[in-house]
Amino acid sequence: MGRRRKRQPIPAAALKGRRQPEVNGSETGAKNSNLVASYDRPLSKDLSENVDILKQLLGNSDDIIFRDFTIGNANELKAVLILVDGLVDKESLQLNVMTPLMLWAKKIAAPAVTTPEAIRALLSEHFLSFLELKEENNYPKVIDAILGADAVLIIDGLDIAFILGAKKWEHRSISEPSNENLIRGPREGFNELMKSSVALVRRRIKDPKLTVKFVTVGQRSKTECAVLYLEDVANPVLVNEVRRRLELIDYDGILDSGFIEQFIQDSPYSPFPQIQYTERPDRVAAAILEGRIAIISDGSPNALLAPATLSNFLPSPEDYYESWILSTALRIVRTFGILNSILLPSLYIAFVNFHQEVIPTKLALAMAGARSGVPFTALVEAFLMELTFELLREAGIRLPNPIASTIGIVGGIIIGQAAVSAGLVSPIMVIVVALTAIGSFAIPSFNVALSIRILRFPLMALAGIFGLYGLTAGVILIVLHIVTLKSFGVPYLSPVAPQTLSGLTDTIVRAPIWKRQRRPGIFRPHNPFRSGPAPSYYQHKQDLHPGGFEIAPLPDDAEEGGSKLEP
Amino acid sequence: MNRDQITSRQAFLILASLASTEVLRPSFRNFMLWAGNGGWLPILAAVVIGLILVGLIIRLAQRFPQQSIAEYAPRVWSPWLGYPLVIALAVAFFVQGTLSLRNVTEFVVAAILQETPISAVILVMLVLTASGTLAGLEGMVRFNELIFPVLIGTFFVILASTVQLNPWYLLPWLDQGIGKGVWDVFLDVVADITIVSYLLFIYPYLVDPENSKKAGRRYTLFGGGILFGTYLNTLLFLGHTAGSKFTWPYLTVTENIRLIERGEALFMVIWILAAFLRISFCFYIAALGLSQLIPGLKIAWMALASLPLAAFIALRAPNLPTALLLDEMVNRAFLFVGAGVPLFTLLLAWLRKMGGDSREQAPN
Repeated sequence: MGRRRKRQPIPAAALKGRRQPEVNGSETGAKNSNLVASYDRPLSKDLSENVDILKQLLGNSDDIIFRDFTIGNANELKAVLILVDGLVDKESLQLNVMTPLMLWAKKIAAPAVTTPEAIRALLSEHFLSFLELKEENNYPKVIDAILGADAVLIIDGLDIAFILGAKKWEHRSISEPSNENLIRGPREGFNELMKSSVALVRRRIKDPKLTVKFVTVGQRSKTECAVLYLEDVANPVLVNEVRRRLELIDYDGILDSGFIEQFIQDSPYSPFPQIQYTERPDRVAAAILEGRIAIISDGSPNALLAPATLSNFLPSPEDYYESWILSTALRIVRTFGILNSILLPSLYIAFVNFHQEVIPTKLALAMAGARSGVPFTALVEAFLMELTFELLREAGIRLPNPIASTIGIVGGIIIGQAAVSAGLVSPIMVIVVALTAIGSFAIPSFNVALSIRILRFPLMALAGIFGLYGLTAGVILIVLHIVTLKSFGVPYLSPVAPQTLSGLTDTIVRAPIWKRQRRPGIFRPHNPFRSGPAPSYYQHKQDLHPGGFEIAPLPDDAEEGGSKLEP
Repeated sequence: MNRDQITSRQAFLILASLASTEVLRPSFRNFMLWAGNGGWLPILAAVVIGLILVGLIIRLAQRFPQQSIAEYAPRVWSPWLGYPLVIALAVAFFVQGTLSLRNVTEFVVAAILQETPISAVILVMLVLTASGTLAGLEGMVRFNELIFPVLIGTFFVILASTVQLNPWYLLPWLDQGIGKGVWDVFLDVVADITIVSYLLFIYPYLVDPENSKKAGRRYTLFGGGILFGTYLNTLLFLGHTAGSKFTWPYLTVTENIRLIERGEALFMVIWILAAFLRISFCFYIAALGLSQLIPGLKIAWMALASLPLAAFIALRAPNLPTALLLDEMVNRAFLFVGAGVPLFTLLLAWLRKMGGDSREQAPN
């Protein structure tokens, strides 16, 4: 009663029932998937049968290598090494599989090694010197391993396959995240290699309670995802919910973390992002320490952080590395920028069209003079300029960096100046658009900035029709939408609405680090305390300088009454 | 039952906002007619008496911590009388919301949108209030949490900026007779109780009723303080001159406030926010009350279905004087329904020893 119906994620089973039949190329793929599923049975002891089935299941791809060879022991065992070219470390396989089995094995006289168990034990314990070594005895799992960039060794007479962890492919090195630049703070950013990204987080939280769980998503892409959280801090209900939603993903290809975000967010029809993404390991570590959960997917340099409230999107990581006073000042400036970005064009339209009395008389006269030759209404003028600017911005993103800056200059200065000279827009409008753009650039999260950019347009239309009344109505609708949003059960506007006093210490005002002893209560952490009770300022000073702290003068200084500078 | 849950602090804030936005009501136009002639005396008396009665109502309502008035009134009065009373109360909320809608849109048209048809302005406000109702109790209390500091802050800004602030308006009033004063005290007390009747509908939605019992007492005092402050504020800065001469005294006052230039349009934003909150809450309470009476009736459906009805009622009055007169009449009737039904229901329940520790308290 009195409750809005909550959107529940659709169970995978229900989705399967509704799926339309696949056509054309994907039809073959579907058949192949069914084929693999139909071979869900143990491997045979006959090597040629195993190879035939695997070849059938893997199709006719040229990049899949089947290397037949003979293990040089007394029994002359036949073996096949299967791998995907380009995804495995061939050098390592040469050194740790082919050479030992083909050359060294000949030197070992092992007439007693005749039973499958003995062969298996001998290989795994003495010959296959891999750190990651598994045994599988079922075709789909062997297929998954081959396509998942492991090498597979199958030996005649054995009904198991050795899965050799020899993954290696070309990847981007760890570099500074280009979208989250900082003046102060670590320069490392994630790359597309999931395990490398997990290691970067692990390097920052050397706690055995940091738990990493792997989940595979995507029927065909079989993208590996790592779910990271602190076992004794993150709320177990939240952890289970994140894993449940990940497991519900029923889609063929998960090519980036953005796919996962869209599948697991609470309100997919909202323009506001409900899951945070970042390329910075320090940001992920900070979120995990707060009791949030990180999802790192293979192939994406962006880690997802859930739950995420609006207040999580607005700070920059730098805010926590600088003094709290400076950070607070920067946050106030940023908040002003955000308000500017969303409201300024609409306010301009409302004031020019409806509420001229609000503008100081001299300014109003100047504005009227500047607009006198403009053939459009303020609304059309603002729409034209904003659309042009969005176009320039979009073009700038797609172009290489040196050209992008040229486009910026050409667009911003030359076109703006030309438009004013041609009498298409007023100079004030150019200033408004420029201020709006600067405001949106001050928003640290690209996806929130994007939402604000989109919402600016309906607000402008409302302001153009109803003035401040329309603008207020638009703002009310947006706020109503935001207050009802949730991210994994956490209200999107918390800790502002609903208010929690402890949470308010990290919104626009950021309390000193030594005062923030509690984790944000909005994430309902299992353990709400980062450390003991927060000291008072005087206690903090006392802890730092018990009995006062002074640098004792050097003996020479004491005699001379000051320091001497040697030439 | 799966319900939106709000904290007692949020409940207090919404009551405080509703109390503060009472100044938008046209009854205050009349109230201000005698402002400056010592109008503080009845207000002071009303706040004291009102607080006692409000405290009594909250105390009595705690006999049914898991039920709303729509759920226990039919058992207290018997279904034959209880159902019509609750329906009357819900309808009164709806009509009051609708007339407030007309009132505030007239205000908007008079102040900033002189050339816009009132029907268009009403339509926009209806869309807003329907969205508010659909957002539910949780959505509205969170919205209120967000705007509450702005709302209260604005009163102080207006108070500080007004050129008509005159402490002489606090002089005792003796020139209109004792009878008028007693009647004003009575009306104000009834208004105080009416605001609390919102709470009786949302009582089961409060998190942890035991805790809210303690918080309720404290917040009653805070709420009373805010109510008193609001009334006093109204008296102080409007004064009888503005109050007696103009239809929209607030507009007149803000026209004279110079922040950068004339700022009435900016203050209008605050009033629109306040009006939205008040009207949405009225509609929500009406829909909630009816849905509590008739199980299966969805609030969302009623919110949407009530849109054309609200538009029809709001546009009934042909002009502004008629609209104000209608609003004043309905408002006065609503005061008695809104104050009388809850008070007498709870008193009867107490006399009949229903609720509390007895077996009458139904499980949630």
